[in-house]
Amino acid sequence: MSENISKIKQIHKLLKTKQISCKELTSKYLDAIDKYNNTLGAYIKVTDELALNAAEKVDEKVKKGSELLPLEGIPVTLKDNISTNGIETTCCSKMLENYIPPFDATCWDIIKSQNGILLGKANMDEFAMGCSCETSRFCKTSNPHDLSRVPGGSSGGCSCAVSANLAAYALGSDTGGSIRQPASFCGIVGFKPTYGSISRYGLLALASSLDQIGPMATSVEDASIIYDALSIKDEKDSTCFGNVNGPTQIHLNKDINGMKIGLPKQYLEGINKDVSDSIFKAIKVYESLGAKIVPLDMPDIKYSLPIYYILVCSEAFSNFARLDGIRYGHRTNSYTNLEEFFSNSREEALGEDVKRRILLGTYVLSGKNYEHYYKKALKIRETIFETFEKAFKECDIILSSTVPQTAFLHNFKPEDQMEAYMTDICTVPANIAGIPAISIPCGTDSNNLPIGMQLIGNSFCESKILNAAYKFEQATFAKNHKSINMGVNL
Amino acid sequence: MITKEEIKKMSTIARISITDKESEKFADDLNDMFAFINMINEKNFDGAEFTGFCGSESFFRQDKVIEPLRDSSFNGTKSIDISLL
Repeated sequence: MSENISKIKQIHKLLKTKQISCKELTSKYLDAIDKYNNTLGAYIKVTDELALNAAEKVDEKVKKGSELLPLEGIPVTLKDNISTNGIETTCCSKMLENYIPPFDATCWDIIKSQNGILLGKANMDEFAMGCSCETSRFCKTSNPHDLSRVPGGSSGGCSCAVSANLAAYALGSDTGGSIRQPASFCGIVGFKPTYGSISRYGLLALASSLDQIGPMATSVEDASIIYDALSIKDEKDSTCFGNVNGPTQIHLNKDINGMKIGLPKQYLEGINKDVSDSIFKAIKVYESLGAKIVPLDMPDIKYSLPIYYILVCSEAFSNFARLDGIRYGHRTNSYTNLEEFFSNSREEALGEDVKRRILLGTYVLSGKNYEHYYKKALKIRETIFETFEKAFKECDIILSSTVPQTAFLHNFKPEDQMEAYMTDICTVPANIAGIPAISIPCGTDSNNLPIGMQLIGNSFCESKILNAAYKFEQATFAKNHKSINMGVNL
Repeated sequence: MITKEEIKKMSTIARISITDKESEKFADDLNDMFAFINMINEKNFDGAEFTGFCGSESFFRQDKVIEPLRDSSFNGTKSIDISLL
């Protein structure tokens, strides 16, 4: 399969050859959103006027015969924790229900400067805490492959919109798997680049040392195009390096003969049989492409999830202190003194999972717990980083499943709280180490639901994992790609 | 074992009002979570120190003195006599 599967390239071709105007294309997407959004709940805000105005500018450029910029004229949606000047950015919480940022996030600024077409803001779990997109203040989002199931989370609105052809691509944020897990559940590509390669300026922080913005798209090539366009050093984010190794697109089609792919046994423990079967089939595909499989033993990886919850909750406790009704957010009407004002504002406007995580953060940072939990978690974080460094001396990339299972049913009630958090077990280590990882479709389960495969690379080795993902996609696209009969099919 | 009294104390620090029933529920949830989180005590990690991300030496801007905004923001403004009456 060497058919052009890049939606961005397809759209540019249609625009340049004047088979469709950008305004017509945008209207098609807006009509599709109007038709399907009530069923899917992907969007919480549609920005039709903004989209059509940007489309007009693109049409003028096409008329003049000017070259189109990489993301010019491409319909996009943004997760609702990415700041958009003059447009509500609510994190799907009652707390920020009426918050309108007075500035743009850098990633949106870049897209806007390229005349990208913002169709609207996508639904998400409240403050990006969740894995099902069911904790949003506004609505639940459904999986386009099976409406009785969740699209994953927290970037569930984005994955749903891209999968159901209600946007050509989306930008999500990934703190512990929030791009890759929903991408896996919805059968699309979700890419979390190296920490610091895309600016976080304007992203409403959950855990500042783990958060990373990244693309969600229908193909690896699109993910690469978007990454190359957005990975620019940003003075407004002191942790942003930009793309230190140059464009990734030129590496996509490189031969992977001889590439060493690590397979850690810890990543294969406890995963669903359909998922493990698909992963082993994917390994066969890689072997047929000339890659060598290297078994790895990474025992300390198992500590990733416990320290993830310590670090995320500690950082959230600090980041969310500003949501007090004075500096930001909902204000209560019921108070007799200032302390009560703060406590009641937060009580009324924050959801249960947000409160639970803030309380956990408060606990691990208080008194002796700080040494016992938080400082120890930082030490383990370093150990996990070193574990990956060692692994990448033996292999070029690491392969695993993205999630141990496929999309679960709406209103699934786990036995205990940790069971709900276990879906992140394969994705969290890459956030802990700050390294890049991508989820790509690699098959379906017995219910015909998509299964995702994860490829992890060393810091700033985006080219390697995109190359390996692209070659796999080219070899298996016809088999693994499940088209959805919704939205705009080009 | 985290008690509901401890949860109440945490909620005061975190500035979130919670009811008795909620504090009981959160105590149960956090105890479940710590049953898992406490696996970090299986092993000693004392040799390790967190040094930053991605092997980078420094993420931060160069620490150099620049002209304070306060001084430059008065450039071009008129001097007004505000002596006390």
